[in-house]
Amino acid sequence: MLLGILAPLAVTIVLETGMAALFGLRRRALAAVVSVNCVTNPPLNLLWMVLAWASVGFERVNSGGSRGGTVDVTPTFWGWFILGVLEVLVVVVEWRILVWALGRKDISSRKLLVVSAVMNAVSATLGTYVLSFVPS
Amino acid sequence: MRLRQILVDAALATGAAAAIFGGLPAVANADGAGMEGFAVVACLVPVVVIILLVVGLVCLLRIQREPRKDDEDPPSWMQSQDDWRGRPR
Repeated sequence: MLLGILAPLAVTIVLETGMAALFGLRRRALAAVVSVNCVTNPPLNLLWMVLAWASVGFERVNSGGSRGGTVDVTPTFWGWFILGVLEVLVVVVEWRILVWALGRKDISSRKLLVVSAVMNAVSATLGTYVLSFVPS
Repeated sequence: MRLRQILVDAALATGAAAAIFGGLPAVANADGAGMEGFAVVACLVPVVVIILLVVGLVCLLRIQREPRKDDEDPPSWMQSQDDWRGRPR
């Protein structure tokens, strides 16, 4: 359960810091990207875990047949829709926090919005793929 | 506030979080009771999330207050100026 918070955070920090570095962000800006992920990622994953636990946007599939076995909890269409909405929310929140922390003088607000959108898109897609190999 | 100090603080906070992450499952499984240990970990997950959130916010606050420099690579004209400055005479 703790791995459900720690693993996504580690993968997200690695991917998003790498993407921010590719955009030319350095030192203080990269430290801000790491910090902003500590703010947004764990609550998002906690919410995702609560939704799965409450079966909101998730369905329980018995993969063991009629004799029992394991019950898989998989996201439905609405689950992925909720995740998409939350990701958009995260992009906006991270953008505003980065603008606040770094200021508009050195890096433009528009560039920070692009950086936030791209690094979150990469971490949402590539990160989900990488995390599929991590045992839950 | 220097970046080095921020990184040291972040490393200490990460170490504390890692100790919690690493220690809790061990404590939870120590008694061998499945659901009891599970409940302990389940209750402490939100606590760990809040700790990470606070650590992140504190780091951001310090970054915001730090003098602004070196956020991006210097533009090409400045790099060439640096080359000029470093050239032996």
